[in-house]
Amino acid sequence: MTQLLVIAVYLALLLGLGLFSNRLSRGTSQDYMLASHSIGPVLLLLSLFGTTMTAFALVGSTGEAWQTGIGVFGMLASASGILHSACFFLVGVKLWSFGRRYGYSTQIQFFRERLESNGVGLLLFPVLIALVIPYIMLGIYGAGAVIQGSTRGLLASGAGLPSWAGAGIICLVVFVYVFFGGMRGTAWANALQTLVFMGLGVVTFVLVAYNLGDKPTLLESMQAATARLLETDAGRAKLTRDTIPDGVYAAFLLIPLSVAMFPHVFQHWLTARSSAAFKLPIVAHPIFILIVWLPCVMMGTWAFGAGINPPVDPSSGQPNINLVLAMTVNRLGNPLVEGLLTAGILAAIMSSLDSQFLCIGTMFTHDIVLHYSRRETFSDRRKVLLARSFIVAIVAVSYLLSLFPPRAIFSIAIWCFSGFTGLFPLVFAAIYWRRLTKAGAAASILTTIAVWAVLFYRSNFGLPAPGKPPYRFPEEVFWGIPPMMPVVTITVASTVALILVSLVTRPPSEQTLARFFPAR
Amino acid sequence: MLMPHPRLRKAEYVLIALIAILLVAHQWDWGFKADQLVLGIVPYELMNQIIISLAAAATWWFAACYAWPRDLEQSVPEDSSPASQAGDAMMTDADI
Repeated sequence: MTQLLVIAVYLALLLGLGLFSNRLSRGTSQDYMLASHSIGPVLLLLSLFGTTMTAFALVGSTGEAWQTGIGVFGMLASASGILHSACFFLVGVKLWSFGRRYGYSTQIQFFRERLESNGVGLLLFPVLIALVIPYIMLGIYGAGAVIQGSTRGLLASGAGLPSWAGAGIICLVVFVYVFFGGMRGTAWANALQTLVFMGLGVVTFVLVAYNLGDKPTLLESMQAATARLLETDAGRAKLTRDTIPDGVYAAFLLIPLSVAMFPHVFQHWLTARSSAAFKLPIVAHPIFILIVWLPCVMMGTWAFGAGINPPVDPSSGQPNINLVLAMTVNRLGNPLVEGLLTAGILAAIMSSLDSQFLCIGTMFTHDIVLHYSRRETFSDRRKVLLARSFIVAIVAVSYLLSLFPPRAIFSIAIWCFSGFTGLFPLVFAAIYWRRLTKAGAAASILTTIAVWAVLFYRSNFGLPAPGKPPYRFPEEVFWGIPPMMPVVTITVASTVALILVSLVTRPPSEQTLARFFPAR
Repeated sequence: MLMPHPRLRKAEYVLIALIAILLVAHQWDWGFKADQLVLGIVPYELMNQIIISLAAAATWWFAACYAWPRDLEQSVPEDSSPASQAGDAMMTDADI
């Protein structure tokens, strides 16, 4: 009951914040979708960080560390620290500048003008939507599962709140503050949620360290928890990166590039008050990742040493590593801490969901309705109404889809990231390569779709056979090419297609190039 | 002979070099052993990656101070977005 109370208080706080931010709204569509480009550095840092971090940062990182050891920090966290900021610096700031100058609200608007092509926009739109939807489903499904787990014993049968009910509550709360607060409400809610999941992550770490080490001081407890890993060969392996093949370690360097093509991150970039507002997020992002990931990786590794073993997931035949954090926290026997941690996990989930709902509403409004409408003008009121209508629809559809999740929902998330990474060459070339053509862009997008689809099919739709490693391409070593992660194949193929086709087709007009490549 | 790119400043060359060093350092396998621990808690491999994260923040601080794009603010006049200047008409997308 305590857990439920903590969750309820937190959700009420979020609702209050969303409704309050509605009172700050200027009532225009620019304010609803882009907070009138008024977000300063601190709020931009917190809202961007909250948007890029999902429940995986808390739950997944702990589970992966339990399974693989401390190497996951380098593979997933420090790589993101370098490359997320690189994307903000090299792509985000430039797109912000174009967005401010030419009045963009979505990526599609930028690509249409940069490439002088409606077709590229039409091709890209369904791809972006198709890659975001599973990401949203994962968040909703994960939220339902988290609430169900943390409220077990609530019902007479001993079960927790049904997953569909928990997911519904989360959808409703996010919907309310996005619907009423728009981007301003989303930014403030993200900022709060970022502080919540960062703060609660650190508090949980200290309590877990005491519990697992079981010594009088924190330092001694942490030393005892680490020493336990040195007692077995399996435990010792977790303290090195020997458990991760070099090829996989290197391939994961590409995954963080996906943020450059996330439509919801693009929308957050456009909220910045000035280009200078990007400086703090760019510098602090690696440190924030360190603050969130380091405690989780240490907890997961210590949990292995402490003999915490999650049950086997029948669908995969592998231990359900997503339960490691909950099982570790359950050992504390403190329902308040469990409730707070649940609130932290939900905060991480909701801080991505809200931006995704809003960006899809914005994309449908601008890229479809306004772009293809024969009407010359839409009032601001009507634009906001349109965006809100699409948000209602997308929340409803996402919620219904999340009730029937594919079995491989967690591995599908990494496939989505791989798809976004496959589109990275497109946005990078659009900003820095004058020779990029609309045919080259279309070839890159089509290649990404084709290679992604073939590899996904060959991977048994994201479900490798029990006991087999995740899918690699090519399956067997041939022509001297070792097996690679799908993201490598997709990105290389997409880049080659983009360059080759661009070089043999007609570039955009000088007038367009002058707009996007002004003389320095 | 390698000629400097006419559009890059010295600070940008330094930034490119720093990022390259960071990426190489990130991938480099020093072969640290399990019992190599800082304060008996943090394995050397993990400490290596912690230092890389802090070095990444320092690199981006350098970028923000010395290699920040110069032409951004000049190109965006005060309250310049078409929507904010002309209300709805400019933001209908009809002409995009």
